[in-house]
Amino acid sequence: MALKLSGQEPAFQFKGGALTVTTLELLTTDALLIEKELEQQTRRAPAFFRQTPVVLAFERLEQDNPVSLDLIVAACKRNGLIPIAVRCALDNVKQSAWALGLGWFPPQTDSHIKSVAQDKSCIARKATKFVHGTVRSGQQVYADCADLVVLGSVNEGAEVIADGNVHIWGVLRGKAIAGAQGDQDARVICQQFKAELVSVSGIFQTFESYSWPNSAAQLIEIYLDNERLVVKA
Amino acid sequence: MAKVVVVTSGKGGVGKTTSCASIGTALALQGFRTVLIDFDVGLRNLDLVMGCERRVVYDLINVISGEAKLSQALIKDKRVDGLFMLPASQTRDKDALTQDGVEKVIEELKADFDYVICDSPAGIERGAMLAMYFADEAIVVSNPEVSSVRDSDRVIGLLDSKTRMAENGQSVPARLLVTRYDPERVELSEMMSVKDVAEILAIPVLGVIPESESVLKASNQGVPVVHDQQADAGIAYLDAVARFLGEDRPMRFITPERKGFLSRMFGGRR
Repeated sequence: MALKLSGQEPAFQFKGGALTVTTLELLTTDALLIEKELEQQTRRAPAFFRQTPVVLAFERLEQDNPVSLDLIVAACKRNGLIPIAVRCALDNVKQSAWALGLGWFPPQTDSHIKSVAQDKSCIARKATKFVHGTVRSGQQVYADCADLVVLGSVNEGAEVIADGNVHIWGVLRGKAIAGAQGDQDARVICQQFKAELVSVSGIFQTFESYSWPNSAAQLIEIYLDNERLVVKA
Repeated sequence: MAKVVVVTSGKGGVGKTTSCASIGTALALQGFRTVLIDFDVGLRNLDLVMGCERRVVYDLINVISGEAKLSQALIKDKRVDGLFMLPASQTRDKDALTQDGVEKVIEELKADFDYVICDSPAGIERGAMLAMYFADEAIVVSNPEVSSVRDSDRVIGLLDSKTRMAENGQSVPARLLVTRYDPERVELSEMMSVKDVAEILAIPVLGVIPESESVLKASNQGVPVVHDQQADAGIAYLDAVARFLGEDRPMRFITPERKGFLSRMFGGRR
């Protein structure tokens, strides 16, 4: 919506929108190396590089590498690319971008996922939560900062979640999630394993009937080993 | 004191209404004054299965909204003394079913009957929730088939959380009625066994009703199958009701019949 002030025709409109922009994710700060590789690419697809706006992304670089943004920008321009902004967390890069008249975007990281994974606020556990009887389809039980003990089965379509360990004294047929706040040492233990899904500290795996252990009734323990789920009979 | 029993399942078409009609009839045959309430507003069926569809004048919704007295809406069974039914409305909106209204009707019926059997609609919407809300006991009907078992599991969960008894910190005692059971297909591993179903649902088994042609015939004729004492299904319902009343009876019809040559050649299912 354009504002009309004092009878004057509006000169412009601001519009938000999502544009697809090519991002140049830099894996080195060596401007010579970058230029060499750009030249090779330009030769292969010259039309693609002509007057193409790019965002220079620095997230994948080591933190303390010195960056000479002006050289990189110049190398881009010589190959038809037009840098319009940078994306980084580094203050010095942000400043040189400002000096070169480039925009700045905050870094895109998986910081949300990481911050959950590293949250140790649940290290101090509360009293274990007990559920007597079967957890049924459509029901969800959550043990906040605690272990969860189910004295029964967890049926298909049911979810049991704990920030600590999950112990199931019956059959696990539904979903079990241990270490929901990121405790990588959390475990899921059940008397019989017919699970749909198991997750420990955000790392999950779905199971089909053929991936269940052969023996019908045996104690199963699921834990993380090197960021991989291990199902141990 | 009268008992309110809900017959429920979650999934449709598993035999709630058929079971309701037969259980109610069997209870009345035992001398208990019994009333069946159809909660399936808009998809009224119990009257057909009971064979009294031509005598429906007023229904549950009429009673709740004060358009008719309870005594006007109750339909007396022609075959068994002490058996009545309260039909659902076929035309009205199911929002007319209110908790207060249902409570009033059930309380009034409790004063006059030994058993109030609520025939729940399929699903877990308003009608089904109200059918189970005032229950003192539940009969969960399930077919030996995964989707039916899962839906029954969901409904047992609701019985434990969304009923008046649950709100008072108790759980509604639920028992399992497995219907459309075919022991031969169980033996071929084409169908879940009653043991598997009972293990998943973790509630006591009230009875197993064998798959039988007589059930369909009975429904179409409007005579509850429990009247057909030649039929396996009819006998199985009588057994189930005997167990419901506390009798200890062995399960029948859960192993395949060893058929002779002639019946294998010519015999159908009774």
